[in-house]
Amino acid sequence: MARGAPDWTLGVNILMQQLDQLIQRPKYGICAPASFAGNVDANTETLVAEVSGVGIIYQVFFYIQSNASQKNDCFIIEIDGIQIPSATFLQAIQFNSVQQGNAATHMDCFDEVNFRYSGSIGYGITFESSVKAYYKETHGNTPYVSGMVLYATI
Amino acid sequence: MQRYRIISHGRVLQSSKYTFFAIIFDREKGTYFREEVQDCSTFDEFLQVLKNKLRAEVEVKRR
Repeated sequence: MARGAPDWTLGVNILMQQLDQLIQRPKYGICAPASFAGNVDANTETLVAEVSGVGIIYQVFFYIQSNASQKNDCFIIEIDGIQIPSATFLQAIQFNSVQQGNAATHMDCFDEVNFRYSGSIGYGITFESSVKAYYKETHGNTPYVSGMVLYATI
Repeated sequence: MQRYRIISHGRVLQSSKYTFFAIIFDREKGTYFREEVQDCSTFDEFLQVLKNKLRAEVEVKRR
């Protein structure tokens, strides 16, 4: 005959266990892309993607094709209503921000002959309510902007 | 309590308009799925299209 308290009523102190390591992490869902593509307006900030919820951004990729220089444009990320300062494409190149992790924005392509630009913004940025991605156009053109926000929500 | 619950939602620029999307939890099946609606102007409009499509009320997760 079984005696004593049933095991399902016993409290377990996980920190007292003989474990090599204890990992606690938020339970994020699967990675999802929010892809955008279209011509943006001239001389303004155009919202290209928005995600509401709680989660994490893995990366924001962008590709720009234009008929003229867009070197002073930039991509802006807004986390929970606060914009993260971002370098223009030219500034990113001038400061050799061409590798991930060097700065908020890094450039992969800066082509002032064919007017093609590509790059990405940060990674591992968490958000509590929303994330928005804007393209800031400053040359009076309407370039074609495409890309995606890779994210996961809780 | 509604069968469908929006866990997260958003919108992306597609051509010159916005496509709205949502990650939705189905309480009956216990699964998540994604729905997209093109050419919406507001989130409320998207929600209405979603309700018509799913033929049910949709709950939005508030935090």
